[in-house]
Amino acid sequence: MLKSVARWLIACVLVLAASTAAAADPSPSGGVTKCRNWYICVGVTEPGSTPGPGQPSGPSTGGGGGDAQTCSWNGKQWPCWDDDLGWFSSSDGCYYQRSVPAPPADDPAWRGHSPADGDLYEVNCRGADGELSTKPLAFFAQAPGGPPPDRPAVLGRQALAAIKFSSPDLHAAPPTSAVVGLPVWLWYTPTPTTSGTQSATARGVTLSVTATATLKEVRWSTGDKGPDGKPAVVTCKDAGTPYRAGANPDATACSHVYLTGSAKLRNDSYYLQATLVWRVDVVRADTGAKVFNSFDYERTTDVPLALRVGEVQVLN
Amino acid sequence: MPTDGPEGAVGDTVLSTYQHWWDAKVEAYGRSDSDGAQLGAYSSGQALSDSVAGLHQLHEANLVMVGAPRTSPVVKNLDLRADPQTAVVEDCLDVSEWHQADPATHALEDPAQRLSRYVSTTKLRKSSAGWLIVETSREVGRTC
Repeated sequence: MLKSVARWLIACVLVLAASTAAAADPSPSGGVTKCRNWYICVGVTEPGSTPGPGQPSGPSTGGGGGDAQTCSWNGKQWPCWDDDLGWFSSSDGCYYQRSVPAPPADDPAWRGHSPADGDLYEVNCRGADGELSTKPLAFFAQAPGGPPPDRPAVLGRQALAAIKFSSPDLHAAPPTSAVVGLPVWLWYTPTPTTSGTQSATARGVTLSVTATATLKEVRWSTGDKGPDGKPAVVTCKDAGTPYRAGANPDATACSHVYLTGSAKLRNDSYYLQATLVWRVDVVRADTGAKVFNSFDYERTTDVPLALRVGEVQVLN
Repeated sequence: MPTDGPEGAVGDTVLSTYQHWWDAKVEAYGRSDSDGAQLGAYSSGQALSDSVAGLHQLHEANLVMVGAPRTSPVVKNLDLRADPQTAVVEDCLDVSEWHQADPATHALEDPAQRLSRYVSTTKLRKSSAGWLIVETSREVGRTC
C-alpha cells in the first residue's frame, strides 16, 4: 500500500513537471473536463514504469462467458474481462493482453527473455481516478488471467489476423522501351491474397466469426508529378491486364502516360508503388451481425518497381 | 534521408502507413460506437495498446474527438538491411484543432490544460502484413 502511495506521489510530481514543460493551451471552452485523449493531455503517465515483477494474480474466473464477473480494485468494480484491453488484475489494477504479432526475438521489449519461454503482454493500468495509462510491454511466462474468452471481438481479431494482405510483384510495360506520351501498362499477377475476396473464420467454443476482405481498388503512385504538381496517382479497379507484345497500347484500363522522362532521376528511373485498398468486414457467422465496423485497409507494396522512361519515341 | 530512388519510395510507404494510422485514429476517436479493429490493422505492441486505451477512455467518459490533428511527418531513419526492416518517423504534431467533445452535440469539452503542438517520434517495423506502427513517444518540452 505504502509503495503504491509512493508510486502515485512520484507520478504526481512527474505530471507537474511535465505540465510546466509542455506547450499547453488553455481550453477554448474553459471547462473542467478531464483530459481523456493521451495525444492532447498534458503530463499523463508516460510509459516507463513497469508493473511489479510479481506474477499478477489475475482474475480467477476461467475462460467462460465472463460478462457478469467483476473484479474489485481500489474500492471500485471493473469487469474482469475487457474486449479491448484483456484481463483485469485485481492485484494491481492493470489489464493484460497478449501482444500480437509478437515483436522479433531481439526486440528490447523482451528484456533478455526468449520468446520460447513466454509472451509479451500489452499492459494498461487504472489510476486513482480510474484513468488508464499504458505501460511498456511486459514479459510473462504464464498468461496473466488465462486464455481469452469466447467473445466476438476476440474471435474477430483472430479472424482478421488470419487474413493475409500480401504484397504483389509489380509490372510495367513496355519494360525497357517506355517513352513519354505513350501509355505504360501497369499490373501485377493476381493471387488469392492480392486480389478478389478473401476470408478467414475463427471458431470459438460456441461461436464463429468471419473476416472478409474485398479488393476495392489499386492506387499506383507512378513516381512523377501530375499537372497539378502533386505526385501522380493512377487508380485501377483491380490487378490490371498483363501486357502482351503487339497489344494495342490502349487495351488496358490500368495505364499511365508519363510527360517527362526519367533520365535526370537517380538510377535514371521512376520508382512505382501500388497501394491495395481492401474493404474489410467482420461478422458473426451465425447471425451475420457486425463484430467491428467495416473499414478500409491500405496495403502498399514492399518493393518499389524501377522503370526507365525515355524522352524520345523509338521509331521502328 | 534520401527522398528519391528506392529508399525514397519505401520512405513514402512508411509515411503513408503513418498517415493511414492517424486517419484510422481520427475516425475511431470521432465516434462513440467505434472499435479498435482498424487501429489493429496498422499498429501493434505499445502503439496499439496506447491508442486502444485512449479510445476506451474516451468512450468511458462519453466523449469523442472532433476536428483532426495536423501531421507533418518526416522519415528520420530507415533501415532496409535490418531483419525485420525498421523505420523512425518524426512528426511535429499539431493537435490544436483536435478537441474533446460531446458525442451528440459536438460541444467542445476540452480539459483546462492541453497540448497544442509537440514533437512525436514513431517507430515502425516491417511485418508480413506491411509496415506496422509499434511504438510512439512524445517530447512535449520540445517546440516545433
